[in-house]
Amino acid sequence: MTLEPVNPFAVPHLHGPVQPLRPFAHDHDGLYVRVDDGEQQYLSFQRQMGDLRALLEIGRTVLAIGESGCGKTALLHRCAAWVIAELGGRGVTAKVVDATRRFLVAREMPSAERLVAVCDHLYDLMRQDGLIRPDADAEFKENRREPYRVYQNLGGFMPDDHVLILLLPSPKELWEEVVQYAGFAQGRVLFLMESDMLADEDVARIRRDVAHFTEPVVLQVGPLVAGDVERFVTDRLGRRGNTARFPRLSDEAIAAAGRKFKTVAQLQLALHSTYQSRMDRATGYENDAWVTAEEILEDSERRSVKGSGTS
Amino acid sequence: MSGGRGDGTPLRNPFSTMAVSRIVGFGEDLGTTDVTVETDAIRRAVTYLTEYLDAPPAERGGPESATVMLILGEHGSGKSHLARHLVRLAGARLSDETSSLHIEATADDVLHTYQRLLLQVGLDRVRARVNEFYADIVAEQLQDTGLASNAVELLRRREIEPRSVVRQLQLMESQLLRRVHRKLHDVTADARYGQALSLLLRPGFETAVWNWLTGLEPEGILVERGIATPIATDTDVLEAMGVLALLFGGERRRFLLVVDEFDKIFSAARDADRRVVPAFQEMLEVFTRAGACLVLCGHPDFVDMLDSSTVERVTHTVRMAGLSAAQVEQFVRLAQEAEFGSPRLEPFSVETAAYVAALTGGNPRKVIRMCHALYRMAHESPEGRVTDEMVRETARDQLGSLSTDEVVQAARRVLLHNGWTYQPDHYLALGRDSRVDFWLTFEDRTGGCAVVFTDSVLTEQDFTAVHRRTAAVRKAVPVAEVVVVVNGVVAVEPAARLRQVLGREPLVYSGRGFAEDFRAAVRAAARLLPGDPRRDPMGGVGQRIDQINRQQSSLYDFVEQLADHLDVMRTSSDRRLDAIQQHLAALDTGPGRVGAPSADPALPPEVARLFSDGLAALEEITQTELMVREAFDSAAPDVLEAAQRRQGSAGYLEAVGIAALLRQALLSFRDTVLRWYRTEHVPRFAEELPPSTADSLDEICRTYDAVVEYLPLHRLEPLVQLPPWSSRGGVVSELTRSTRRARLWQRLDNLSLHVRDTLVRAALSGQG
Repeated sequence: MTLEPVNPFAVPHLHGPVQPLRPFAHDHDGLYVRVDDGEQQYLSFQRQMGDLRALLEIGRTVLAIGESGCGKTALLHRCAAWVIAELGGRGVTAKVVDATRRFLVAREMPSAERLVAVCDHLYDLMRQDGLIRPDADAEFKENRREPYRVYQNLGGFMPDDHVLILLLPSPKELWEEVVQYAGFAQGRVLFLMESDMLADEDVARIRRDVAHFTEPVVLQVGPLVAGDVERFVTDRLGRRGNTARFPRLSDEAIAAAGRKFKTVAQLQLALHSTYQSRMDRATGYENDAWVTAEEILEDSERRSVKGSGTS
Repeated sequence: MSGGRGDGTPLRNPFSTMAVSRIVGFGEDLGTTDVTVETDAIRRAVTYLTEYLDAPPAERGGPESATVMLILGEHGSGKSHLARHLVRLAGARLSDETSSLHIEATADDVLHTYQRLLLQVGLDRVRARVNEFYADIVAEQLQDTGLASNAVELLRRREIEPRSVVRQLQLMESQLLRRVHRKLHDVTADARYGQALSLLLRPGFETAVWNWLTGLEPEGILVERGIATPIATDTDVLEAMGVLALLFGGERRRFLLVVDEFDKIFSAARDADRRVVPAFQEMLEVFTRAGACLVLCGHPDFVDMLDSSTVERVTHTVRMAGLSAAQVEQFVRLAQEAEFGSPRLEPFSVETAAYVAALTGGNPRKVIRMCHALYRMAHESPEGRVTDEMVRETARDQLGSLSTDEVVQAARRVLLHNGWTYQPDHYLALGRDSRVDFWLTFEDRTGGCAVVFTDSVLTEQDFTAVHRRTAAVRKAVPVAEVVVVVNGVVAVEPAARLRQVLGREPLVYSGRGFAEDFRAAVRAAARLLPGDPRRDPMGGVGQRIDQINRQQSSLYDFVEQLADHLDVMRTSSDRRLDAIQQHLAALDTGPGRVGAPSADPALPPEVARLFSDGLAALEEITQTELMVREAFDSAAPDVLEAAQRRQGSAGYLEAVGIAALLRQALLSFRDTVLRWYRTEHVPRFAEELPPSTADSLDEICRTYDAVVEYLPLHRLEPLVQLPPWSSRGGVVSELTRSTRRARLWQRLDNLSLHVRDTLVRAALSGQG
C-alpha cells in the first residue's frame, strides 16, 4: 500500500500555517500541546471559572497577555471551547461571536469610538447567529450605538438559555479599555480579550481600577521553554504515526530548532514550511528520510528574504 | 553679440531678473550650470561644511562631529545663494538623501518655518528613518539568534522591509516594536516623540502622527497614548527641530539643516516669549549632540541678539563681503557660459564690469540687477556693448531713491526738529555756484555750514560740479563747512576725491536712517567751526533760548498734530462702540430693559439715556465723521466743495474742536459713572446712599463740571447755524435751527446734576 504524503504540521480547516486553533469550530481540541505555558494557563482558567455560576450570574472578562506568536488567541479559543462544552452539558448554549476581524483596519480609532463601533457591529453579528430574541430585536437595534445600554441589557436581549462568548478587538496598550469592558460584563456574557502590549504593571492598574467582582481572569503566555520543541514535534509527528508518508526530524534538528525559535508560532511556521518545501520537491519525502537542522535554517533563510529580490 | 540683437533675434538675457532669490542659471545639478563666483566667504563656508562632511565617524559613544555656522550679510549679499550652494554640495557628497535637508525660512515665524522644514522632510522620509531603526533592531535580533544571515545583511543595507522579515519568520513583533519605541525615546530624549515616531510602525496611526508633528492638535488616538498637547509654542517648535536633528543626525550620519533669514523669525519669537532664547540654546546643543550641521543665515545684527553662551555654541561665522571688480567680471563670464555655452565678457568690458562693482558695492543682488538691465540696453543699442554712460543711467534708475525735492524736505524736517537756524536756497555770493540748499549758522560759532545736494557722482564732470560748488562756498565764507548730500550713488574714484576736498565722506541718501545720519553730519560740521569771540555771554544765552523756543515750537506743532490725529481716531472708535452698545441694548429684552435707549446696558436705562442724548445732540451739530467719510466715498466735486466751504466758514473749526472736547468729557464722565456704579456698594431698595458712596458720585459729577467749566459752549453756535451735514441744502434744516439749539442746551445744561439724581433714584429703586 502506498502511503499518502502529508505535512505533519498542517492543521485541518485552517487557511494558513499559523492560524490559531479553533476548537469551538473544528475538531482541534486534541491538537493543543503543552508548550508556552499554555497548558497551565488553560488549567488556571478552568480553575478561576469554577462551576461557571459567576459567568451565568454576573458575567466574566478574560484577558490573555504575552508577546506575539506565543499562543494567546489559541488559548482563548480553547477556553471558549471548554465553556461551550461545559455549559452544553447543562443544556445551555454558548456561542462565540468574533468581533475582532472588523477592526483590523487601516485607520486606528480612539477607544471610545471603537467601543461604539464594536457595539454597533455586535448587533449584526448576534443577529446573524440568531442570538437575539425576536421581541428584543427592536430595542437592541435602536440602541446599537449605545454601549452602556446594550451591555447592560445584553443578557436580556438573548434567549434565556444562551451565553455569549464575545471575542473583542485587542485593546493594545490601552489598559483602560479592559477596565471598561470588565465593567460592562453582565450575566451570561463572557468577554475574551488579548493584547501583546500590556505588561504586568498594566495588569496591576486594571486590578486596581475594576470592581472586585468584575476582576478579569488574566492569562499569561510566554516564549518557548526547554522541552517545548520536542513535545511539539513529537506530538505532531506521532499523531500521524505510520499512517502517512513524511520524513522524520533528527534529534539534532529538534535541538537546533529549540535554539533558534522563540515562539510556538515561529516553530510551527518553520517546520510547516520546511516540510512543505521538501514535499514540493517530489523526492526525499519518505518515512525513512530525515529533515535536518540545516534544512530548517535554509528554509528560514529563504523565507526571510522573500520579496527582497534575492529570494 | 549672440543672445539676440535688434535684428529681430529674441533676446536671451543671461542675467535673471529673479536674481532676488537665485543666481542666474542655477541648475539642479551641482557643477553643471552653477555659476557661483567663489568669494572668500563661499570658500570658507564650503571648507567648514566639507570638514564636517569628511570628518571620520565618531567612535561608538564618542562625541559626534558637529557644526553650527552663522552666515551673516546684508540684504542681497548672497546668503540664500550660499545656503543653497552648501545644501547642493552636501547633497552631491552624501549618497543618502535623508542626510541632507534644506529649508529657506521665508515663513514669518518659528512654527511656520518648522512646518516648512517638516514638509520638505516629508512623511516618507520620517517613516523611512523610523523604519531604519526598526530594521537595525530586527537585524540585531536575527544576528543574536544566528537566524537568517542574508536577511541581516539586507536589513542593514535597507534592501528589505523589516516588517516583511518579521512576518515571514513570525518574529515577536510586539517585543521588537517595544525595543524601537525605547530606542526612539532614547534618541529623541522625549517620551512624546519616542511614542509618536514608533507609532508610525503600526498600522492606522500614520495620519494622526503626521498631523501632530506638523503642529495640529493631537487626535484622540494620540491623546490616549500620552500625546496630549500640540507642537504649538515657539519653544515646542525649537525642541521639535532638535528632535529632527537627533532623528536624522547622529549614529554616524550627516545631517545638514540650513535656515535662511533666521534672524527675522528668531527676533520675533524672542520678543514674544522669553523662553525662546534658552530653547534656542538647547536646540544648538541638541544639534551638536546629534552631530548635525546647522547653518543659520541672517543680517549681521543677528549676532547682537544672541547672548554670549549662545554665541559660544557657534562654531563658525561667515560674513558675506561684496564682489570685487574681478569677481563681477568672472560672474559675467560664468553667467554667459551657463546661458550660451562659452564664457565671455562682451558686451561688458573690464572697465564697465569694474564700474558695476564700484557702484553696487559688490552687492550680488544689485550686480545681477544692473547686469540684467545693462545687457538689455546693450542689446538694444546700435553699438551692442555696455558703455559707462549706460552704467551711470542704470545706476541712477536702480540705485537712486527719491526726487531731490523729497530729499530736501527730509533734510528740512531734521533742521526744524533740531531747532537749527537755516536759510533755504541761499546764495552766499554772486554766481550760481555759491548757491547752497541750506545755509546754517550757529550762535556760538563763526561762519556757517552749507548743505549741498547733488545727484549721483559717477563721473569726473559730476565731481567737478560738486567741487566747484564747495569751492564757491569757501570763497564766499572762508570759515564754512560743507555737507554734501548725494541722492544716488558715488563711484569709488569720485568718492575718494570728494573725501579729500570735503575732509569727510559725502552723505549718501538712504531712506531709512537718513535723518540720523544727516543730523550727525551737521553736528560734526558745526563742531569744526571756530567759536565766536565777539559774542557776549548773555547774547549767547539769548540765542540759545531762541533755539530752544524754536525747538519747542516745532515740537509743539508736532505734538498737536499727533494729538489731533489721535482724537480723530478715538472719536471714530468711540462712535462705533456707541453704535455697537446701542445695538446690544436694543437686542437685550430682559426685564427692565425693554425699549431702553441705553448706550451702556450696565447703567440704568434712564441714566444711559442722558448720556446718549447728550452725545446725539453733539453729533447732530457736528457730523464731521459723516462728512469726511462721504467725501472719501464719493469724491464728488460738490461734496468736496461743501466740505471745504464748511471748514472755511467763520468759527467752524474752533466749534468743532470744542464739540470734540465736550464729547470726550461726556464719554469719560459716563465711563467713570459706570465704574462707580459697578464697584461701589450701591444698596438696592434703600432710603438713601451711604455717605461715602454718595460722596464719590458727587466727586465724579464735580469733576465733569470742572472739565467743561472753561469750555466756551456759546462758541458752538456756528455749528448750530450750519445745517446738519446729512441734510445740507434743505429748507427744513434752516427752520430747525432753533430746535437744534434748544435740544443742545436742554441736553447739556446741568447734565451732571441730572445724571446724579437719576442715578441715585434708579439705584435705590432697585433698577439696573
